[in-house]
Amino acid sequence: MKKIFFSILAIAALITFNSCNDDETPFDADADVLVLTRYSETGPPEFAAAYFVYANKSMQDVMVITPGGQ
Amino acid sequence: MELGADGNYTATFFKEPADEDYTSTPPTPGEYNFDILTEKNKEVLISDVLESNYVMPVEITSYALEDNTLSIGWEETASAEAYRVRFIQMTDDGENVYFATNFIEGDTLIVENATSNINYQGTPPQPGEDYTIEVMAYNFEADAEAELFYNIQSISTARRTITWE
Repeated sequence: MKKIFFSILAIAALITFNSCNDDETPFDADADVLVLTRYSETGPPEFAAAYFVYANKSMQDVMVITPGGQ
Repeated sequence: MELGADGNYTATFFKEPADEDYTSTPPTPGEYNFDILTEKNKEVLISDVLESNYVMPVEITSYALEDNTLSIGWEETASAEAYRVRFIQMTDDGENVYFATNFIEGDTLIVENATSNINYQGTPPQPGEDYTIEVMAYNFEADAEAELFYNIQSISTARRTITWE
């Protein structure tokens, strides 16, 4: 699954953010949480979350806190 | 929960689910907070809201390879705003992408000159080998007017295996 998202999303990130990669430019980032859906091998649908953070500069660490506090 | 970067490219962090992360219950709607530590050791907090509408997988209704033309059809699914179609081969190391569209609309994709347009690093599909057709349905956050890539609400995936002739 990794290639599905990163191939398309990383391109968008490069286009949008990498045009301003100097010390004078403030750090800027955008986050996206999304639902992935597929049918399980036995038939019923199953779900999972995916998380992305895109920035105009390098990051050291990113943590996500869900509405449930996890 | 910690996100990770892809190698040395540390301007994007992400976490995608493994097979064991899928459950019968959708993720909880609401506000997800992201705690970022920048390269300058500055903490930045941003958030994104997950809405409760998500898109279900399509049903792939037809696929055929005739006269060097690959045609794929599917039933459109409720709330889908765009689709992407990929032609891939699953390997022990992951997947080789032979063909992928950008966002498209409708319920059909026709790829003419299939042996030219569908290839992996210049090599077309080989007769007798199995490949995967994948149709992904997308919907976007309600306030997403631009930059759709950053405002995806959900993605569903439907797959069929075909043997190349």
